[in-house]
Amino acid sequence: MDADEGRRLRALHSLGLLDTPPEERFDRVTRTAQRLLGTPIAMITLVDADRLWFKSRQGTSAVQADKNATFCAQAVQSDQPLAVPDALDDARFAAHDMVTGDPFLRAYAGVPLHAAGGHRVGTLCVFSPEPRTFTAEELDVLRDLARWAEGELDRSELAAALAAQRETEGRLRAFMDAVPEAVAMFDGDGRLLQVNPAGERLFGYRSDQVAGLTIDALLADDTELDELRPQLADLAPGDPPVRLEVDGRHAGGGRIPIEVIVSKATVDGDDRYVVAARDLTERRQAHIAVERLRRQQGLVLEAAAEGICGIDPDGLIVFANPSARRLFGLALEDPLDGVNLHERFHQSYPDGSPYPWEECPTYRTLHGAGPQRIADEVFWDSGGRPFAVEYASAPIVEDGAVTGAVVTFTDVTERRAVERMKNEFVSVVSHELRTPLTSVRGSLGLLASGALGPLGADAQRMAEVAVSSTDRLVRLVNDLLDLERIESGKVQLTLGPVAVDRLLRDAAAAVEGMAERAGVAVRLQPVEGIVNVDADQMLQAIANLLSNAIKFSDRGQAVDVVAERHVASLSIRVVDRGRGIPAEMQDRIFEPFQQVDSSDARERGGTGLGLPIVRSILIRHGGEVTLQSTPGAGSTFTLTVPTAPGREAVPGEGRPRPVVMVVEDDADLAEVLAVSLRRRGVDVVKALTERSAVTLAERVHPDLIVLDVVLSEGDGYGVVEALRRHPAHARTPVLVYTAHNLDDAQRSRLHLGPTEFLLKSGAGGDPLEEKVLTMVGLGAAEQEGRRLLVIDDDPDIGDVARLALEQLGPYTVQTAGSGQEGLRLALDQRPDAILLDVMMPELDGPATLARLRGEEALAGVPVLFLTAKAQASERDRLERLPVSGMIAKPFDPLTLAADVGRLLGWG
Amino acid sequence: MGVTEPGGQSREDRSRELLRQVWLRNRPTTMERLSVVQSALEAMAAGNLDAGPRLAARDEAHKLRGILGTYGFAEGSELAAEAEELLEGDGAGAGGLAARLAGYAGTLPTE
Repeated sequence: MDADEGRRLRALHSLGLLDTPPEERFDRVTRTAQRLLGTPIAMITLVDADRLWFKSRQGTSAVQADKNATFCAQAVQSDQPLAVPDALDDARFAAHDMVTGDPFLRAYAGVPLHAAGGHRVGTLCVFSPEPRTFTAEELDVLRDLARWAEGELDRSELAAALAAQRETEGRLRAFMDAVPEAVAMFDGDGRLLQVNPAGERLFGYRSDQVAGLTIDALLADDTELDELRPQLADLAPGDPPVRLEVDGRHAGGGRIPIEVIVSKATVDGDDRYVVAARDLTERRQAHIAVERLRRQQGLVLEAAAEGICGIDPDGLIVFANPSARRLFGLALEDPLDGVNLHERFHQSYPDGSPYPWEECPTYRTLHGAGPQRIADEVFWDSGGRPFAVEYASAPIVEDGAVTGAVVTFTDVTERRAVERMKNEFVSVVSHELRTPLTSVRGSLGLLASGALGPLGADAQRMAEVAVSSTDRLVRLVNDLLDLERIESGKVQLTLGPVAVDRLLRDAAAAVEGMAERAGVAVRLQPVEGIVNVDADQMLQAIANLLSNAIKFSDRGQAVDVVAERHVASLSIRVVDRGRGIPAEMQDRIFEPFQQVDSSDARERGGTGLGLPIVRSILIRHGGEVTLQSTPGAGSTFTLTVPTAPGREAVPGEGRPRPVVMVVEDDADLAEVLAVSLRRRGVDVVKALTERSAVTLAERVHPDLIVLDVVLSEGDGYGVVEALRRHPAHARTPVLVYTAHNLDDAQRSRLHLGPTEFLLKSGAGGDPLEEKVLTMVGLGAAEQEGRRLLVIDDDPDIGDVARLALEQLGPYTVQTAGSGQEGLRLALDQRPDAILLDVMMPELDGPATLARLRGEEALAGVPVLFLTAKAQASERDRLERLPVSGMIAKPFDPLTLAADVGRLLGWG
Repeated sequence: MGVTEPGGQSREDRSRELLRQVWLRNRPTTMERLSVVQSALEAMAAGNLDAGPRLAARDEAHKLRGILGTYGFAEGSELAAEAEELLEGDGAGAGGLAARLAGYAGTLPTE
């Protein structure tokens, strides 16, 4: 089949007429042909690939015929009509079945039919069984009729095209219907042309209501269309769509937040807007919910009474709530963002000393230490006034990294005041209770003992109940007073040396009666040694723990008190085998009135204040009390107190003492030099030989080498030569101390770092000492240390105190033998601190103190009382006086310097 | 405690030595005080100690108690405390204490 035939067949098939029923519009044509040309047979044939199909036929019942060698197949070959007057005379058709057999056709006339595209798809033809000639007019008629039939064919073609379009539209419609989002098309004037069901649903219209709607009807009244128009007017076909958020109008009148996506198209030269719309109601509600939440959080921040600051990793404020500003004394408009929180408001400790950022708990939070909570510091407001705060810093962690911190703080000035008032109230009430209680207890005791005459059995029992209840009440009042006094700081520590075994023995003795009654053995495992504590308080702490341990032990059990010495602390463990403490109680057990079982107070006679007292005492000592307990197996309370003062430093400088290496083969002279140098604040190491000097230098890195030239093994030259090879020592200063006169060559061989020479004169060590001090940077000024004034009427005590303080501490000491002399010296010398004996003739300690405090020039000079045990009864009175601490007499000269440093916070 | 310095002798040892020297230097005043207290106690035992000297002696005893304890003489400090208490009270046992003090004074180191 050639290409033309292919196109002809497609044109034929697209008519959609093959194998369809007869149609009147075609039959009308064939009937007219039959009548006008006077032929018995007229047909409209369609020439298919291999057959002849009759769309309309008159005078025959056949519906189709074999295509081969038919008249019509011939007729469609040309645009001209085909006329055959007698088929028997025409070789092309003489043998055809229709000619030789029924219906025995003899004459034929046919005109090709063209489809709209010009293809000849079939014929209008007439047949006659008699030979006949067709006139030119007859053929013209037939031709006119063929044009009519062609008109009918065109209509078929149109119908087919419409059907195809309907199918396309159907698919499009199905697609539109299936799209969950609203899709609509408007014309250039805003009239709705088409909308899908989703669109109808979105706006609340039935499908029969949408015709004639305009864009205005679909938008809320206040939508400024004019504002949208410019954006839409500029839109051209093919541009990216415009996206808008507008409020739509629902058919019911409601408002619908929608997002519309508008694109422009041109259809047959007309503008069309294709609009997709999405309902934003849910999204907007979610947005509103988020906004509301944000606003609420904002309100919480705004309304919080606590100051809340957010800071970045460098400590700079990124937000601060109004309370923070108020507490800082700032107005709302004062800039705070970017201000360094620590440097501006937390730069000093409560005592005014600098508070380095690296020591701030917030710094630790920012560097991975987690949340920190501090109860006893101050912030400084914008006017430089301190206010007591409790604050907490919590890290802000994003993706595992600390990106900042939130610092929350409260002004606790008022709360502190209330706490103080409460404590004072407790103290006063307890004091007032104690006196009548004493007489009640005394009277009841007399009654119960029968001293006032025999009692009846019931009365006796009642009296005993009254006695034991009163005893409990007395204990409670005493404990309340103790706790209040310790916690309020009214009880000052009176540190003094106490033997550890003595402490343990005294504590055991205090609970001896109780242990015996309970049938519990108290076993002591002391260690040798002295601990520097307030003996009375520490005794109370241990005794409290022991009495608890005994209370909760069964008859026949033992309680162990085990002391252990550690590098810088002493621990005392009190171990019982009682019922133990449940895990959930272990944290609370040190709080007041937190007994494991509320019946304990009655049955075991506890006040619920014993452990809080213990904890307070230990905290005051810089120690701690901890608990390990296994329910059912017993408890171990461990007291730990620090024993070693920190590394000694040159006072006021905070730097370590310089180290001097004395290289001297005369052991006696080396020792003399060492002792005299140490007295001046220098640490000394000694080397007797060349080899030990080199080894020692490598280990201790001396700040100065005092070098003798002549040694029993090796010599000074060897030492210098060896050290020159070590970069770390090649610049070490050297003081050559020799009995020989050296020449220049010898001197140059002894040069290391800055090198000086001093001749041994045998006239004492003073020139050497001065030289050494100058070379290590401790001139006379630096060497002086803090100046103390000791006022004691016993000159011997003054002597020992001076010795102890000057030898074992970085102090220079003056002594005064009376209050008057002390006052005079204090005003004259302005010492850094004063040690004041309490009991002196004429002007005693408290009176001297009053006079000292009356001198403006001496304001801020701390005073320590030296007080004998006998005056412990006066402690209450002494403790209320403005002193920085007390030192018990007799004091231990070996620890006096350290104690003074500790009490005065000079570490 | 007992940190031994590179010098071989601990700071404490050295300080004890210095304390001993202070004691030796001040020994006479302490011995004199001891004898004042001792005489007062004897007078008290004999019933002829007036209030003035008694209070003066009590103050001496108080000082003795402090200084003896400070030098590390615990027994002496306790004896002095007893004397202080006794001189404040009715004087019972004054004679015995005077004798104990006399005996104790002889045991104090002289070098």
